[in-house]
Amino acid sequence: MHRRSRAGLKRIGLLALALVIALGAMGVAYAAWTDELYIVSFVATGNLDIDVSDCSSTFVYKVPPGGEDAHYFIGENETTEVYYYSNGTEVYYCPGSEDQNAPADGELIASAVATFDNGPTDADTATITFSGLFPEIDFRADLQLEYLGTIPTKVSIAEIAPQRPQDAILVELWELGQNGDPIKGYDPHEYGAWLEGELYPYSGGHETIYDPLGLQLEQFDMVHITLHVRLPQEEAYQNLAGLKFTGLVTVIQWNEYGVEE
Amino acid sequence: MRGRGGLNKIVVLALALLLAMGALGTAYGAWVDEIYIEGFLSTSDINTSLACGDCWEEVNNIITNDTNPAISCTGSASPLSIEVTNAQYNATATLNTHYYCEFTISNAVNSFPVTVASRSITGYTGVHEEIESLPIGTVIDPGGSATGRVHIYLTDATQATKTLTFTLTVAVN
Repeated sequence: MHRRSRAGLKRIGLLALALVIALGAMGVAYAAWTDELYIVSFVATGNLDIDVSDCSSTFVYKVPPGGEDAHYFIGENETTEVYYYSNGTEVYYCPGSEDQNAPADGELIASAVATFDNGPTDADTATITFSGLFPEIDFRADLQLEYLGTIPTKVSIAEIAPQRPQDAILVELWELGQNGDPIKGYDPHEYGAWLEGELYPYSGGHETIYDPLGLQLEQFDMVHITLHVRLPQEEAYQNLAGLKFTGLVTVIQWNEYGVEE
Repeated sequence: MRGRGGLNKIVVLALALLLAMGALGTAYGAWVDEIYIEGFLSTSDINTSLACGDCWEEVNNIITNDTNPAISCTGSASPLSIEVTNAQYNATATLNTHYYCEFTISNAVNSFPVTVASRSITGYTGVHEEIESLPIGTVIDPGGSATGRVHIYLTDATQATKTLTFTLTVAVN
């Protein structure tokens, strides 16, 4: 029993060793019969992104009266448009939210200032503040919207409205701006509040926007919106304080526009 | 036979559906972008006031009565009322009585600059009435004021010894 047992163990050891070598050899052979193909893929989706990319504002100064009425441009690249009136009023339409070319002898009386904040989320905001308005001056605040999205989009909402019931006089101003007042001899867009829009396609040229709803935008197209407020010489518009309004511009992918949910 | 195994599959399926719908919702939200605009508007206030100043009488450019003159001014806003009682006339110019009243127009601090657009005073036959100084176009800054003067005298005896009332109006814009 003892002799047989040792010999048996040897045989089993050899067998195991041979098996290991055979498996190893088979392994090498097996690897030789395998090939691999690596596929690296990238997936990117389109996006919708409309931002406010620029703005401009109006500043009205009281300056020493005299001289003659004049219209001229100043500033770097003549970006600021100036109207001087001999009655001592100087109106500056300038880019941005500050007047870099304010007259040294002027006292700021009233303004229409636009600012904007393109935050990290979709909730881009712009603020337009009309302060100390008085009759006859065309106060203008501009916003330039730039479409940065990769897929075409269409404007689905474009609205502006008073925020609260006590701001209802803004509706009167808006209607006066849209329709004028035939009895008083005011034409549309002469007094009151109104919007003007211009489309500047990336491909070149520009065109007036009469109805923003459904307006299609391609990447890098720009839309220039100007909000005008020009008060008539009427007592009702004097000493208005703290009026608020809101505006909303929404764009959706072009092939979803008009599709009912 | 379907028992617990079947139920497990249904629960997993429902969970997957929920996750898919959630993912779909997020994707849908990303395909809309918007710009929100906040607007504020306030207008200026013309807040001016008109007030009476000193009144006096002069003869031959010399003040003859500034304590109890025959001319007076009343009112605290436009129009002001100016009254001459027992108006005197002397055909000799150096002896004729001239009546004066000052008035002041003030612009409030919270107002904006204003310009004198017009000023007027009612009149009588045989009376010279004139607003001196404060020309049309005078600019009054917020917190500032400007003073004018009314000058009245009889040019003949038509209104002599009568009480004459004048209305002084000043408008700004």
